[in-house]
Amino acid sequence: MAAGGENLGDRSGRLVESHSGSNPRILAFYFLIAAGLLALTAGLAYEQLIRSNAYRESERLQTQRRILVPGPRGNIYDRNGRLLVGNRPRFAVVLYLDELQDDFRRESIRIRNNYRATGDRDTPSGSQLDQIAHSSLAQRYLDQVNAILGRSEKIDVRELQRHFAHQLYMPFTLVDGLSTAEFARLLEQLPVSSPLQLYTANERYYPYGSAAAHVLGYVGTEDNVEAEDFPGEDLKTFPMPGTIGRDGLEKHYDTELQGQPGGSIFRVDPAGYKVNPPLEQRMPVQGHSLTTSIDIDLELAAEQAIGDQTGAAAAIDIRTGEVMVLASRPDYDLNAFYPHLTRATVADIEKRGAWLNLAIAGFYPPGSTFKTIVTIAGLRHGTLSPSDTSVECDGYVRVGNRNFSCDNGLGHHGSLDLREAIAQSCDIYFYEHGLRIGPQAIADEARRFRLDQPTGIDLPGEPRHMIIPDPAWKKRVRHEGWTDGDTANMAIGQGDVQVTPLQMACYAASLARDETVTQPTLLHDPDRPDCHSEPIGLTPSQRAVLLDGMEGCTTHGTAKILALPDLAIPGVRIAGKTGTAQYGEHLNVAWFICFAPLDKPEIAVAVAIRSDRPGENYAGGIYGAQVANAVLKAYFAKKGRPAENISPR
Amino acid sequence: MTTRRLLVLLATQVLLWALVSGLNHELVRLRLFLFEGGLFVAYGALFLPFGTGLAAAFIAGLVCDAHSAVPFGTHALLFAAAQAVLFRLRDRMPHDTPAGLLAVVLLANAALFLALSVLEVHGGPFAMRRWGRLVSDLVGSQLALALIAPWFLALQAKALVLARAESTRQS
Amino acid sequence: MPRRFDQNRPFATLGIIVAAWLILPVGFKALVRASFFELTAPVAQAASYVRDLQEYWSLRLHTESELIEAGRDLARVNASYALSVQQVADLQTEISRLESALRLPPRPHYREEAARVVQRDFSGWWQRLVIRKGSSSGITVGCPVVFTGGVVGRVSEVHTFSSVVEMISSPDVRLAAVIEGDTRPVAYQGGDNPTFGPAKGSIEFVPLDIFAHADSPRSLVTSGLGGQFPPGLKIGDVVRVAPSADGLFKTGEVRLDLRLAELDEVTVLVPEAQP
Repeated sequence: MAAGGENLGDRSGRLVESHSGSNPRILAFYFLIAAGLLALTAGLAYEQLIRSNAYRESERLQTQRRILVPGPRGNIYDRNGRLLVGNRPRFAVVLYLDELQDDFRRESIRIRNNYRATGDRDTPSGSQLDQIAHSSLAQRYLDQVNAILGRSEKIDVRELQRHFAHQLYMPFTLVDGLSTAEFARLLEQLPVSSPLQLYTANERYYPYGSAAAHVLGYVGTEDNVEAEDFPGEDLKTFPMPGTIGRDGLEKHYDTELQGQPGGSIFRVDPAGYKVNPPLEQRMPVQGHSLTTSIDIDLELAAEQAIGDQTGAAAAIDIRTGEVMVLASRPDYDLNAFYPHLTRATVADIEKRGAWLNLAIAGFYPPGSTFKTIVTIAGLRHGTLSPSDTSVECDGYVRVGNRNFSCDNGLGHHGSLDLREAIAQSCDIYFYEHGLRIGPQAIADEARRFRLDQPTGIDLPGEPRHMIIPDPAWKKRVRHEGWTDGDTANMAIGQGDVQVTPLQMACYAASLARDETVTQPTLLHDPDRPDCHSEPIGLTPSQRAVLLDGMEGCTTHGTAKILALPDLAIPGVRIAGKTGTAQYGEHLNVAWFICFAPLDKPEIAVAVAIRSDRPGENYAGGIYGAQVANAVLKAYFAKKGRPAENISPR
Repeated sequence: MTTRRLLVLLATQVLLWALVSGLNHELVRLRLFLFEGGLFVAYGALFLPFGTGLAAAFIAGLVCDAHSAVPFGTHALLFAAAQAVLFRLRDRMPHDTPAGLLAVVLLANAALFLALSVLEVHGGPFAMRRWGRLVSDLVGSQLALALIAPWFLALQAKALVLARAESTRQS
Repeated sequence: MPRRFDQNRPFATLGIIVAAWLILPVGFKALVRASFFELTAPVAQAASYVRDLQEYWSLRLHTESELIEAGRDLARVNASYALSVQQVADLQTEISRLESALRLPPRPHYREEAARVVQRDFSGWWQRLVIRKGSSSGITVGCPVVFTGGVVGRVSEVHTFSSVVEMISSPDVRLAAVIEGDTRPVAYQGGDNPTFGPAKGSIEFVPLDIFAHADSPRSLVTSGLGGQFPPGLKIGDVVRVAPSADGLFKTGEVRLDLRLAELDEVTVLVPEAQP
């Protein structure tokens, strides 16, 4: 026993001894264990301390979603505060699919049980069952709506599945474009806490339809709504479609008009359903509103006066350069653009050539309205004397080897001075004096008024096709030498000269202020400072002759219809100039530029009406003057200016 | 015995419901609402066997549900939950003294009130203002409870004695 | 039984009850709910009869001269009402003539069913009335309920001899309303019932050209477009409107009639087929 005990003690001693640590293999094992533990600890520390942010970020990206809702665009008002462009609601009834997770599951189970109960061997797969459940339940909700509205709408199954796959967090539209009565019925009869809810989208609304269509412009759909100041840019984002300005002020001032997007950030469960309440939420805010310089009464007057003709009119506040009218016909109804523009509407607009804003992109020879520039050039260069009656108009003059006729007065002008030459728009007088003044002086004068460059109005896409020719231009562009015939043509605003109605309106405004440049703008600012630019440089007597001639035009000259009782504006003296320019093949443009009142100018107008068929003769003194008269009448009627306050001639 | 105990308890609870409803009917003029749910569970949970207390609380909850604009069973399940919690903790609660008992009832009532509020108030145009009203209702309810509870608990105890259905306390 | 399980027996039982309750069929629960309501309804009804009796005896305390004076006042009011009834009849005839001339579709007709209020149940969670008439009087769910000051609410539950009315001050009531003098519908919803203060509701989808202020409130009436309420019933006074953030509409606040908290009698409008 003792021996046995001793043996046992020995054995145990050996055993202990054998694990005492002197064995290098054991030591290595210990080392490995320790190293492993250390590595694990280090790994754990690395994962917990260093990588934890990355994991948290990864978890955030996987479990959080962001919805962006565009803010409604700002309104656009006319200079008197009347709404020209606003937003109108578009009512829809929508189904919040993400609130129906449990219902979908129950429906799926019910359908599966039905299959099993009927012993049908072709039981659909899980995903097919889910799809059937989605459609079935959504249709059941739609039937609730149908019962209230008396409709019989059906679910678009493909659209529903697409929505489920890509836009689960967005409301699924069941019925769009609800009438007011339908909206009211649903409002009253749908339970407040139902997943069926009324949804209000907004679309652009133009109370005046086609009025100032080219100025106001339109918007298109923008899928990439961005909200830089809303957190969660790195999250999976579901933007609801927004809008972007495509033309007119909507495009030029798109940044200002754009609303501030709202949105929400929320968690999703493993099945992808939303977990309420949202982690972050912000309401969309409407964009800034614009007050344009357009006066809608004047605009409507101009557009109605142009009627079915093709043409444009521009009216400018002489003091500030604010554009009160910028009409272009044919035009289009802006409300037809929403909710979407149909192909038929596009074809109709294209067929009528209505896309083009003729006020800023209609390039026509200015015709006799250009004679005022020739006059200024002649007076400033001393080659033209107001009292010079040396030119005798007998209907024709020979320049080079070509006869140039006087289109006004049928050859009965006879001997006339500058005043009457302007009033009667005698071509012979200006051929002769144009040749004396020379093409370069005329072109330089026109360039002083910036008729060779865009006006810089705050509208997108103002073209640069305006031309003020001179010998150098002709050589550069046409590779031909300048002739006296070119000068004669230029002296009556024909030939290669081409300008836009807006340019001529700016010119008329400058002329009224006795200055050379008017910078037009479409923004209204009651505190806008007066326009100031380089003076024209005429002496008072020279200017008086020019203005007398222009007034004579409207009293007894080529625009004498303005003196007719029906058209005359009592107590308002108008300085005007007509023009009837030929362009293209037997087409012509009726021009009229004017400003009023003559003694203290407030408004400048330019009108260009063009013939669309060869042979149609549009005289500026009739067609152009009537449109300008409609604008002036509307302007002075609106001002309510008593006749006695206006100094009579 | 158990059935008789349950019936007596239910009778007192229906009486409580009728009285509180009557009180609320008059307090509408002040736009104040009293909620005394804690009293429906307190006696059963603290002094009766678990089954009897649970059945009484659940049935009282169903009575309240039948007269409220909540999904049927809301009060019943909330009362049952409160009953289970109180029963589980009753040995550790100082309900042997009137003050301790009142404190337990007040606590249970406040918990039930808040649970019901969380279930009922979700969104809507006046969600935040509704919480203001609920706080007033809770304060009013707790004050009323402090007045009613001693009487009502004594009534329940006396009714059980009169019906010879009193219980020796069980853990 | 192990001690640990015994300790948690309450929660285990609770879990079983909750699970059992969740899987019970909805129809069964509805039946139980109706049973419980009908079972306890006599208690509430008895209380209301007691109140009526109380009121009767308090009225009995009036002196004869007070009663004579009240009778005279009543006669005066009746005379003025008789005149109004005549005017209403004339207007009704004119409206009918215009409707037939314009070939407008017939408007819904309502039978008026007066009912005593059994119980007022106004909490921060819900706002309801229990009235002493039910399906036995032809009342159905959704019937409009009115009083002299306008809309009370709509019937949300119908039992045999009693019904529950969801008040317009309840957050779960939404109506298609119009500002008096305007035709565009706005959404009214109840919900703000402060202690000691008047109940308020909210309006949404208010056109931007509508203005209202506490000093110059605008009357909010039912639109008749929603299909449940006839047009022109007063809901309350719009005391504030402000543009919403999206700029499309305004939102506003509606002050409800203080008498809604003191109702003893209401009228249920039961839709009827056109005669």
